[in-house]
Amino acid sequence: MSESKSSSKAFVDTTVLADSLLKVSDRRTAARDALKRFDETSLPVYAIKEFIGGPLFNFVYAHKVFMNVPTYSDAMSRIQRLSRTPQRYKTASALEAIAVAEESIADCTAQEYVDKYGANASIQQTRLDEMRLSLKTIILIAWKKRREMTTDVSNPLSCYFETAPIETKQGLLELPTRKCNPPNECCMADQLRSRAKDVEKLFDVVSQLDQDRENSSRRKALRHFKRTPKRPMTEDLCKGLGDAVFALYCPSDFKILTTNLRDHEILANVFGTDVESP
Amino acid sequence: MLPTLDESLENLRKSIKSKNEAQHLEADDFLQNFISLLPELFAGRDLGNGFGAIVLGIFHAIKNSASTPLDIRQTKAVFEAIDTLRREPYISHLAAVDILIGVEGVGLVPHPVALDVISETFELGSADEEGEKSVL
Repeated sequence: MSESKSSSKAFVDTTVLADSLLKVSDRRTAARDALKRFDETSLPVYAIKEFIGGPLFNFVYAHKVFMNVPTYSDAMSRIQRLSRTPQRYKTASALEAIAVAEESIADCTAQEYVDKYGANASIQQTRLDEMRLSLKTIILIAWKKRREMTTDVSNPLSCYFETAPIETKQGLLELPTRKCNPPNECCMADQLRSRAKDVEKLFDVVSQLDQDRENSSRRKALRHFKRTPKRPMTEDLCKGLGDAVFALYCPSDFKILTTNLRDHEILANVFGTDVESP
Repeated sequence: MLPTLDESLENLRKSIKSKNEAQHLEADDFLQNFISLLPELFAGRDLGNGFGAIVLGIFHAIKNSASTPLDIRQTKAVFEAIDTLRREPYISHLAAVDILIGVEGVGLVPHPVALDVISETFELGSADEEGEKSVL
């Protein structure tokens, strides 16, 4: 959707942050162009938390896979094993597409380089190292730029600490803090208790949706404040809220900017918030 | 490796000069000469991850903009990246990341499109804790 600057303020969700930092082709351009459309773009720290625990972690995992296998095809097979979902067919198709979609530096390497530089210059090793280096590079760039894609980073979470990826002696990357570490409970808990009516409205809406894994977790988190509000809010409940956080915390003069219009619109409508996609 | 780096810089210098003189075909010709040297430069990545990351980033930055010839600002950014390698071939990966952020800053995308296929795979499945453990 390409809209004019009808609202000049955007509350940016995790999908747009991930596309702007981790995508290479069209979705990267769309996300970055969308961010430029607005005078103000606000990124809640919750989006950073979701980004680190989700898309960035996936790339860190993929980097580990490529570091731990002897060949490129081994790595791709390993990643393919992730397709334990009903989407298995689509996943396999995507992996097959890699053979035609990619332009690898390995395709341009020559036998004389093997003679000159050794086995590292072989096509198989070049292709493997290409992915190892590319994944590590995009992870490190994404980490460095995660707070620079928007004009503002908002809604700090006092129980969540962003700690830079570390590299092990074996050259693997690790993300030390993918989750919150609240001393007693999530720092959003009191705010959510004080907004019991808003939370209840969201609960009613979510309860009417298909209870897939995401909606089920969200419903459980919202139900916590409806039925047992005095009990501590755990990290799992915080994670379960997901898109509801954006609906609850989006300032009234902002639009939510997301690639996931369908899920966000249902929740944002509860508060009359507009939602826009890149 | 140093002669190949020198040859790369010479081609980029000539490409920039030709662009300044509005000799666009000639400028692209020199750029093509430079591109042909990148696989050999990558073969020398034993110098370190930073070296390999910059060579690879430049290769994909140019490939990703294949339908549009590099403008003079972009060509200069590529020159500066390769010039850094000539001066600091043992550059760290973290320092290389800063160079590649500069390359991104002129509108180039220094990553392989294959990464999109991998991330789309994860969007369909998920790298959960179980997946992580299975690798280690």
